[in-house]
Amino acid sequence: MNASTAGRRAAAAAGGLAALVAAWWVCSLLVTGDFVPGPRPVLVRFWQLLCDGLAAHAAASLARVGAALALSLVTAVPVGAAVGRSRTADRALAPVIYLLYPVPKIALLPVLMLLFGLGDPAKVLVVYLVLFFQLLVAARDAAREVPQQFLLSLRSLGGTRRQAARYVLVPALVPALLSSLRVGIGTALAVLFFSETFGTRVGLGWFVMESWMRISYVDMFAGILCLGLVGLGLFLAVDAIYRRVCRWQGGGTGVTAAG
Amino acid sequence: MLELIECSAGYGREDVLSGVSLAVAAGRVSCIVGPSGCGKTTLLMLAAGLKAPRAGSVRVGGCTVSPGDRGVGLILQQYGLFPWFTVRANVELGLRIRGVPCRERRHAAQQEIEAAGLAGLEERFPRQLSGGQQQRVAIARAYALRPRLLLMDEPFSAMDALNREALQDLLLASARERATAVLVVTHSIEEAAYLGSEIWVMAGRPGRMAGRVENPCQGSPGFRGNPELLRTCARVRALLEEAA
Repeated sequence: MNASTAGRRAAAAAGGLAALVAAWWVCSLLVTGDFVPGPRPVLVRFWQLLCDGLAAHAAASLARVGAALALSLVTAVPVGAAVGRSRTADRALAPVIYLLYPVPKIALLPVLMLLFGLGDPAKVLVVYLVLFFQLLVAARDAAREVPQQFLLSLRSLGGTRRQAARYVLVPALVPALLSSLRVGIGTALAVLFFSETFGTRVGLGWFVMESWMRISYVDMFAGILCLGLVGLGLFLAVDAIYRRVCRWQGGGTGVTAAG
Repeated sequence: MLELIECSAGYGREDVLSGVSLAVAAGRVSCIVGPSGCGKTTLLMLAAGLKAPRAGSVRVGGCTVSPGDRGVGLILQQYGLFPWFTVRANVELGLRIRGVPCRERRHAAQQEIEAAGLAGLEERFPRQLSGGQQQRVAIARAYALRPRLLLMDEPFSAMDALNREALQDLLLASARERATAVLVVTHSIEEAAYLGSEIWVMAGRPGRMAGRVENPCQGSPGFRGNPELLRTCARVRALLEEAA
C-alpha cells in the first residue's frame, strides 16, 4: 500500500464517519424533546465518563465476550471438524445441531441463571451458546470442503491423524472461522447487552439501561457509543488476526480490507 | 524396489483394479500409461500404502508397504501443496513431522529448494507460484525425505510445452543423480515414451495390465529427437489400441 492510497482510504473513512455524525445531528434537531441528544454533548460526556467508570463497564463487557469467545473456539472447532470429517458423527449430530441452532439462545437465559446463578457464568454461557453454534456450523462446513489431496499428501509425508488436524484441518478452517466470528460478534454483543440488564451492576448493558432509568439520555448515548466502539475494536482485532494468519489467501474484506 | 502382485482394488461396490501386477526396479524411471478411469491413480494409492488392496500384495523394498513409509514419496495430480504454508514450510513439513530439529531441516530443505531451481521463492505461498513452480516445490518436498521410490500422478499435464519439457528433464536428472526409482502415471504416450525406461500399459474397467514396453534408449543424449522415441510411441499406441 503506498502513501496516496493510504491517504485516500483514510479520507474515505473520515467521510463516512462525518456523514454518520451529520445524520445523528440532524436527527437530534428533528426529534423534539431531549431523548436524542446531539453528537457534541454526548462526545463531551463520553470523554468525562470514560475515566469515571465507563471504561470499567466496557472492560467488564469485553471480559465476558472474550471468555465466551475463547470457550466457543476451544469447543466448537474440534466438534465441528469431527462432524465435518466423519459421516457417522455428522448423521448423529446434524439433527441435534439443526434443532438447537435456530433456538434464540437468549431464551435460555432464565434457565442458565437458575442453574448458574445471577453472576458472570450465566452471562458468559449465554453468549457462548450463540457463538458456539455459529462457529460449529462454520467449522463443519469448512472441514467438509478440505480437499482429500491435502490429507492424502500429509499421510504420505508420514503424518498421523493428530498432525493432520494440526497441519491441515486447523489452518484450513481458520478463514471460515474468522468470517463466522465477524458475523457472530454482532449477535454476541446484542445478547450480552440483554443479559447484562439482569443481576449485575457492571457492564455496558447495565450502564445503558441504568442511564435510561435515570432519564439521563446523554449518559445513555455515551454508553451506546461505547458499545459501538467495543464492537469496532473486536472487528478490528478479527481483521488483524485475519491479515496475519490468512496471508496465504490474499485479498480480504473487513473494516480495514487489505488490498 | 516396488512390486505389485495380482492386486485388485475398488471403492465400495465398484472394482477399479483387477489382478494387476507390476514391478519397478531400484533407480529406474517407469511409466504407467492408460486411458482415464483405468485405475492408474488407485494403483499409486496402493503403492503409497494409502489404500489396501482387496487381493494381492504390495511390497516396497521387499516389505509390505505402510502409509507414510519414508522410503516412498507421493506427488498427487494437484501437487498436494498446503496453501497456508510457504514454499519453505511445505518443503520442511515431512522432516518436521518426523521430528527433525529445526536447523537441520531448514538446511536440508534449502538444499532441495535450490536443487529444484526455487531459490529466492522460499517465502512465497503456493498461490503466488506458477503451475511449474508448484510442481518443483512438490518435488523438493518429496525429495527432502530422501525416498527410494517416488510416485507421481499426471505430474506435468497442466503445463505448457516448454515448462513440461524443463520439468521432465529436471525429474530425469534428479532421479539419476539420487538413484531414486520413479513411477510416473500419465495419459500422454509421448511423455511416457520420453520418461520411462519401461512403460506399463493399462486398459479396461476395472483396470488390468495390458502389456509392457521396454524403452532401451530412454535417457540417451538428444532422446527427444531420436527416432527410437517414435518407435516406442508406436508400440505403446498399438498396445493401447489392441486393449481398447
